[in-house]
Amino acid sequence: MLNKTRFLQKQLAITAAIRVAIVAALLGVLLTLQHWRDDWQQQRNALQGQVSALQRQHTELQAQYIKAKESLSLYERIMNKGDASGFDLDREHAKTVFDSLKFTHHLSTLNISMSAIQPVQRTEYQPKIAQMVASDLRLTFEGMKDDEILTMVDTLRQKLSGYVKVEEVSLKRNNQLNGDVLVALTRGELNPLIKGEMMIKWIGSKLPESPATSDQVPMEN
Amino acid sequence: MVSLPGMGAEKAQFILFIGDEGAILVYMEGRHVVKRLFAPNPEPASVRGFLDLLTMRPNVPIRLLFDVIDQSYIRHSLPPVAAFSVNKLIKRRLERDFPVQDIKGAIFINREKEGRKDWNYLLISLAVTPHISRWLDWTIDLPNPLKGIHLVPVEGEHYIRALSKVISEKRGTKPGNWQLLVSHHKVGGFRQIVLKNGRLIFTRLAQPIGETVPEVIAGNIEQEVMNTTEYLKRLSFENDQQLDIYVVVSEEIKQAIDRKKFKNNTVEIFTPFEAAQALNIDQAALPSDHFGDVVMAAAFGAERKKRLRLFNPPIQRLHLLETAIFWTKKLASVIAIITIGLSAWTAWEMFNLQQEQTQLEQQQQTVQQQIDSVQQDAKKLPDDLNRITDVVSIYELFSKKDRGPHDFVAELKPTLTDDILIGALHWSTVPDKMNPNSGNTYIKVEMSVEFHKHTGNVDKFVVQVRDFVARLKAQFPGYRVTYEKLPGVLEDTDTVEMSFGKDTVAVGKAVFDGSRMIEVNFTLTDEPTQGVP
Repeated sequence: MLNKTRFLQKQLAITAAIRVAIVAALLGVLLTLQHWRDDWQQQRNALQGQVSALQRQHTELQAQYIKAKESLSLYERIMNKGDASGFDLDREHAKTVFDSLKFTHHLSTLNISMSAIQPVQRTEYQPKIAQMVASDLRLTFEGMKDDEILTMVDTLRQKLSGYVKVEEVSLKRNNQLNGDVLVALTRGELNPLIKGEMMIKWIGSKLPESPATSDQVPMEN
Repeated sequence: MVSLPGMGAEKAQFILFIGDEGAILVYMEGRHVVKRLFAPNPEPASVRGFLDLLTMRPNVPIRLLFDVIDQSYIRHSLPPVAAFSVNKLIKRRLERDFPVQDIKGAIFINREKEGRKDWNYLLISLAVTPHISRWLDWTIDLPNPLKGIHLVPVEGEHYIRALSKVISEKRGTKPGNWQLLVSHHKVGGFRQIVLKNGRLIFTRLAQPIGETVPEVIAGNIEQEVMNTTEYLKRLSFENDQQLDIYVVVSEEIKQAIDRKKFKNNTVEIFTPFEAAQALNIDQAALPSDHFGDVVMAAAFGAERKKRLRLFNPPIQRLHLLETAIFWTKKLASVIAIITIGLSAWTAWEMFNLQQEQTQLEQQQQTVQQQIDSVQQDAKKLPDDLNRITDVVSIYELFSKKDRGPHDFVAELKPTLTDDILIGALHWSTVPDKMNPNSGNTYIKVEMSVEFHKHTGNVDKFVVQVRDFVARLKAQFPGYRVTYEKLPGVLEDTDTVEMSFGKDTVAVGKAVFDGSRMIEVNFTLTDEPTQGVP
């Protein structure tokens, strides 16, 4: 009886020790594996993120490239308009353009006020490298024919860099076309029949390295 | 090693059926008796065969089934305490009613449904005589796990129930409330067990030592049954009640028993072989067997639920140790299996992660190549791709919906006639008030229109204006055309003041003076009316 009790006690101790060791070893293996698994999971997630970002980049780049290719003729047209070059707002060049308007469109007077070039925020498009900028132009003038005045917008669009968007135009008949006016015209005098005012937003881009342009510069012709 | 209890352990087991005249060791696998050995006493020479068989299977558990004469059964009513307190009462009662060294236990009979609702228990004691003690000492030293001590009269409940079930099915009748088993045992004698309503109510052991003549033994059995029947009358048995009598004896005795002696009671006599067959226990008895010990032991072994398991303190200690070893192994095994399972699952996840990682790396390489390819193509463009995109996008952003004044004036001209001139025109863009960040604009044109050649006739003037408005609306279908009140036209909303003098009749403030040119201010806009999209 005593022997069997001792035998069983010993067996219990040995059994428990062996089982505890085995279970501990197995738990160690499990925890190690889970630790590795978690590391791998993190690596995989990071890689997945990179791949997703690359895929997005590729999709955007592809779409951008296709659109650029399709818009190449437009781009070239925008960039090489008459004697303007590029899409940046070149106020010096603008001055020469406005200077010529008076003659080409038979204006007796032309006053231009140009606001500082300011950044423009639009939700529809975020420029990739350039900054979207604009300057508000106010033109007051006196001329002969409404057609000549209105085609002035087309001339500006053709000659100025960037894009010219007319926001407001006021035209008022100044004089009736009567005999005195006709006589003056035959003498080569400019007798304004129409006077008006035009508000224009002149839109373009500015590359980051370009220095900022500010201060309102009034010009008068 | 210790074998697992439960189903696995029940597959192979030893039953040591111990009586006053020796012991029978039965080795079973499931319901199949593999081997049976007899030993008259636990002397080494006698139990050599036992030891050989047991030591060959040291993991197979052993149960002791006693069929000795020194057993006491006392029916006892205990006060109606709570169910969880009754065990303490039983323990106290057992300690008080039986000697300390006895192996004791109790089985629940019923609880009174009326009155105090006492607990009825059958208190049981197995006296540890020197004979029993020798067998217990011998058993304890065995390597086999000892699963418990059991008593034939108690476990006989299952045996009788199994036999009565077979007979009831055969006869198609219900078993009676009273049942009596007489089984002829080699190691004990004639064991009689009486059940009332399936519960043990009485037991006796008669030992016809030395008798071998079947007719004499049959007579003894008849006499014993009659004595027992008489005794049962003290336990509320009445003659008109049905007593089912089951007898397990040898073929010779079966033939010699006079069934008429049992009067009106139903009697079923089995040989050990027939009983084993009825209970579907394989190899428990041969046709020539005389005794029912092995069949009863095998039926006990085959029964999953035991009625009462007893321990004495030393065996209890050993049992606890064996149970601790068993549960240590079982718990460790469960934890190990779960851990291995989780490890395997984790390894499988790692394998999948590795596969995914490889695929992602390939995918990354492919996408990078595609990006490089697009970038190479982009280098062929005349300018930087981003620059082109910026320029074109900004240009399109402003030019796409841009409608200049020139277009408007060009469209306006066909609506004018030689008697209608534009005196002033103000063309402007109005931002979308509902969605100011959209960049959408509407056009609003205010113009002063001069109407000539109406010859001072207000009706002609009105027609002139209305025709012009109609032309405007036709030319600018998307625009809303409004104009100021026409002079000289009396509207329902006008205040009318009249004065009658020499020359003129003035009507309100709007006096059509008949001058040759009248100016009317018009407004055209494609902006929706407020509140209407």
